[in-house]
Amino acid sequence: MATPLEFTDAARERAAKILDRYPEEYRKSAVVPLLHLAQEEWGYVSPEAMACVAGLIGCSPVKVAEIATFYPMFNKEPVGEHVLAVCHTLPCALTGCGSVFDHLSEKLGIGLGESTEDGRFTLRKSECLAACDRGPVLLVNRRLHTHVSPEKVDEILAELDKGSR
Amino acid sequence: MATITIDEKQYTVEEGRNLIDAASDLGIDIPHFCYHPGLAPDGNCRMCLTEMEIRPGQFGIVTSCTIRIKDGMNFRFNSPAVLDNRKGIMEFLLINHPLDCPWCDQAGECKLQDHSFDHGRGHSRFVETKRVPPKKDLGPHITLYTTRCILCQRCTRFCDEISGTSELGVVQMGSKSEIATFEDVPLDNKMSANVADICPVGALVTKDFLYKPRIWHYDKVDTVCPGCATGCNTTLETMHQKIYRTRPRHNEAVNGYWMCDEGRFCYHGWQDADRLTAPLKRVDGELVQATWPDAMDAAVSGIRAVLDGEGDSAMGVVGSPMATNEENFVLCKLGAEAFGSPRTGLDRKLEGEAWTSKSGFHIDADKAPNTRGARDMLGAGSLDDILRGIEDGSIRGLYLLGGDIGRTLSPEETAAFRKLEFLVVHDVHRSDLAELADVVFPGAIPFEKNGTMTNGQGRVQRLSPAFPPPGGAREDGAILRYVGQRMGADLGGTDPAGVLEEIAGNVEGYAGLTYDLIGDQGAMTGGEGPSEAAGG
Repeated sequence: MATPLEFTDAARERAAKILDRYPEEYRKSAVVPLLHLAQEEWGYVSPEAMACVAGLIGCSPVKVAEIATFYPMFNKEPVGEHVLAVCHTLPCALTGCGSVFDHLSEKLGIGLGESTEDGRFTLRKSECLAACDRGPVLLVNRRLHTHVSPEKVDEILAELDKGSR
Repeated sequence: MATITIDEKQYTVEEGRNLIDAASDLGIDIPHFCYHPGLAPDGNCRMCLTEMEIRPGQFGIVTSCTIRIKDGMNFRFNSPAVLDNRKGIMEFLLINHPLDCPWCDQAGECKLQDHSFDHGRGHSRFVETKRVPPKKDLGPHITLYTTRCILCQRCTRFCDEISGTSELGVVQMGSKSEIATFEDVPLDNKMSANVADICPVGALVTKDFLYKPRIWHYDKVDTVCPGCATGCNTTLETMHQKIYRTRPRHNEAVNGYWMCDEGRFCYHGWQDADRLTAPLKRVDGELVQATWPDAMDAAVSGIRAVLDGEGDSAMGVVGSPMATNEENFVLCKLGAEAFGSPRTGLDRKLEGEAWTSKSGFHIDADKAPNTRGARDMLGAGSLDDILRGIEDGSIRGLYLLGGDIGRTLSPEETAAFRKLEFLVVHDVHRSDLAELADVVFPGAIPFEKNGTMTNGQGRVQRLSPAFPPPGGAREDGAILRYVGQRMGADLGGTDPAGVLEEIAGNVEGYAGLTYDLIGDQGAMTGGEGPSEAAGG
């Protein structure tokens, strides 16, 4: 079996607090917040991280894998520092998400699901982000950008460059 | 009891029973995939949807598997809404299904085939490309044909509820959902092969029954597993004197719907054994094949020589926990009537590991199927008593009912048996034991036996022969009777049902037992009610 990873002391404290929110017999309900914590801790949810969460809530690791693989926002592979997700559902497609994605892809030199060599960016498509009236939309890490255009993409990338400098 | 209405007809059914089972009791089949009577209802496949009156005059769609019968319930099983739903579900389920029925091992016993025939369409409206996820090796016994899976989750629920091992889950989302194990943790538990039995389609198959002849060619025989003292009820599927598959047969008081992998696949050991098909007798120190009359002459004269020598009870008889009650009873009678009240013992079998699943399914540590019954028949002491008798010279000849392919002899046993003046054994192959004998009669393996065995709980159960013993091998009861005849003792008829009648008249706890009473679910000794134990 994948050897479970171990949380740092600080993360373990947070995990204990998360678990405390649920009654003893419903500890399994803590699986999603614990997976978020794991992703924050290690950047992505590896099988070893799933095994760690399974150990905390006392269930078979495949039950954690069920949840982790169900939600696309849990990264199952290592990702770059910034995850850029272009919504590709119908309203965003009609308002031009295609050109936004192509521009990003060209600018970063990476395709769908890939990361830049310097590990700074990962490019993805996303299902509906619930802002159809403001499409096309782009999710940058946890922040949503609306009415995105190729020009706006350049601004966002410049902003991100500034932030990391 | 409750009175319910189905399609405007009234029926009386058991209150609290779920609708699928209640309808099934009435002979009405509600199509379903995910519901299995051995598992908790899940309501995920949506095939069992029917209409129920939820307010006076107003009907709503419900999952039959989760409905518990209450008095006055009113259902529609054949309304347009219900029939349309089934048609829709079938269409969805077949979107990615490969329809590879001609080479699928489930063909002929597939719910998807059956329900497709009853509720499907003649053609598909799906013009897109089907998803073709690769097949997966899930564990030592099970392969997943991912394309065929309809995600009813009977298998994951079996691992959660019954075996308690939780190796299986559904990973990914939507059309990419698949049954999976976690990383390198395989589906490997003592009951894993049951998931192939309960898979309603051909997705989960045992590697043992892969690309085998089509299921409708087999003869089916109901019998009892010889693997341990639990005595799981089984059905063998055979063709041309060969077993192809063993499957558990439902008996709530013994094994529920399940059996363990070891028992399921144990037929290989028996079937692959190099069987004795003719008697053997010792000539100038060597065991050689003999005709039945020759071997019988040798046995009878050898036994007579022992009996005519010194001492009152120089012969001993040893029964077998692998043999039926009837065989052990006839052996005991042979001893009493032809060997002058010999000392009786019971052969032993090495203890194995006991295991109980989360649901209470029990694998016994006693790896012999009939230790309890053999002891009841023989009233026997242990084999150690017999060995002591041989050591002190009071037992000089032995008649031993062997026939266990797993039996090996300890150095002490070998030394004792070597000391005997005359040893007759029944065996099924040239075992350690047979090699020491003066005469070996070729007997039957458990799958060729007709009679009863008593499991660890004291439940007497029927064994039926899948086929006759090969070549010159014979059923052990018939051999014993032949020996009796030659020794001048009449041991009665050869029919195991007749012997059971004698047992019922003579053995404590077995009074009143008949084949009729035992039926296909067994009957308790001592007239006790069904045991609470086991099941699952």
